[in-house]
Amino acid sequence: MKAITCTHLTKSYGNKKAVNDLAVSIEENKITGVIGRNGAGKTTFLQLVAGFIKQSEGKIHVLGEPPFNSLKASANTIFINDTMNLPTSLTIYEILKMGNEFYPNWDMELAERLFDYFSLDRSQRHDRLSKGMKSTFNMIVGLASRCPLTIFDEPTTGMDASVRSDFYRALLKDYLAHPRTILLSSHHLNEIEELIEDVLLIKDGTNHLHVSVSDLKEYGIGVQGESTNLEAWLKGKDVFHKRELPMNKAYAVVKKEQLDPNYKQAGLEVAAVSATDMSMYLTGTSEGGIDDVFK
Amino acid sequence: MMSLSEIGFWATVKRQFFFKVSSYKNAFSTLVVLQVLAILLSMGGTSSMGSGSTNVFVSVSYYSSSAVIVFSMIWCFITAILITTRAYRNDDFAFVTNRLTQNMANILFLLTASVIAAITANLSGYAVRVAAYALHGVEFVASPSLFNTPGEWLMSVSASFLYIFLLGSLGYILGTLTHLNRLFMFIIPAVFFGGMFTGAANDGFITQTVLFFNDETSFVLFMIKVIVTSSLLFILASWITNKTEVRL
Repeated sequence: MKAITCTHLTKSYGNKKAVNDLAVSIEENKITGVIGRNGAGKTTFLQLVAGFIKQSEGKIHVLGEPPFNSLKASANTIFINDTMNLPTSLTIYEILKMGNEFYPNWDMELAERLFDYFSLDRSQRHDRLSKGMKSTFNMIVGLASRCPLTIFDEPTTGMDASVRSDFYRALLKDYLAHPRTILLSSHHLNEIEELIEDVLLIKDGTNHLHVSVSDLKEYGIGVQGESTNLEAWLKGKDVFHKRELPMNKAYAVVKKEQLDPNYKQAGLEVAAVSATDMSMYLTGTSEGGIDDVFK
Repeated sequence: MMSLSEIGFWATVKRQFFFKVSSYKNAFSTLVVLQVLAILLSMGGTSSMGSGSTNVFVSVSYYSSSAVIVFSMIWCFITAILITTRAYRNDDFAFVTNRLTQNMANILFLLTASVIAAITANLSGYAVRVAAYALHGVEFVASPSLFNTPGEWLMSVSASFLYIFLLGSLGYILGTLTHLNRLFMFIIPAVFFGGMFTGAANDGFITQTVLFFNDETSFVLFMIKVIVTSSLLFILASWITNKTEVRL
């Protein structure tokens, strides 16, 4: 069964289409990384999945039904985000107890252990927590709820390096013990590369590429050599990224399947491209970089 | 593989309701403060009359809880507006809900709040009369109370409850409309004050609306009027909010 399927999914705010004709189907019980630049439409897409907002066009099915106004989807989905609303009149420990009331699979013991491990103060209010502490607390809510669909939208905002790695480790351990569908969004893949199985690259509000991490590693190849030779060789190929190097050399990334054997004659060298770099090239603009701004 | 949980409508409403009772508990401290303030204001007597001749002077003062009831109505009105604001609505979505269960839980919360406010407001009548005795040396206190006239007392509580709840439903719809479109923040006061001053004497529609409830002499009819009106207002509010989105 698919956990999420959408076709022609579009969400517009005025003239701007935050999510534009997105089609994707996400497998159940997998961790999928949702990667995209700022403003690419990651959060809007995840909010559509969580049923917080209603699509302008297209269809979306989450756990078998349209998520907007669905009680079943709400009971089986949790959306964790650094701006999520939690009642300020309750202490954070009371919020955990409230989660225990609402979510059928909630693990209070895990919640308390994590709470103590990260030395949170039981009488603290959510709005008075520091940014990193807030993210830590939200993460505890997300893990303890054990929802069949757990959505973390940039969960590590403000966390320090050690909390961050603790979080990823906790997520992986809990996932292995209780497999469930997890969506994890981030600007950058490198942090979560080890954790996720699939990658959904979002660019301009649409599904740019949805592949497994291992396929993404094999997706492109870097080619390097004399600028003129490289330029000639690149004709008719899809170039994901190109940049000038010193000594009249240049570097380009192309699709691996377009690597024809004559590159050696052109005096070019090839090298693998990491999944992180590949995702950055795919979600960015293909030509030029920050250097061109200062030319 | 994790199995999906099915969850009932009323089970969700019940959880949301208990969640609201504990997270909106500050509203009840506000009620206590307002009622105490109203009691202090009522200590001089809510109305009085007197007459006399050369040697005899009779003065009758009413010490009642009516000011406390009016304050409770205002409290319920404001609380209802408050719980329709975005921050409160979004809080619910951290947990399990949809828009219908959210509105049902809000209505149940306002019902409970109105019952509590009606009972405490009516009980405050004793405090007002005790104060009259202690401060003004009032000697004859006629006092319909829970013990000597339980029927009247219950009717008084019920009538105050209906008034308080009616104001709650009014606040709820006005809050919802304002949430729907900011323009209502200007339209509503304009319509309210316009409605008060247009039309001769008792012809303005605001006056007519107040008289529609206030001039009703039959308790049963009054009850029906309030229940029908507030139900319509809540249905309208639920219909409006059924498409609202959670914005983070």
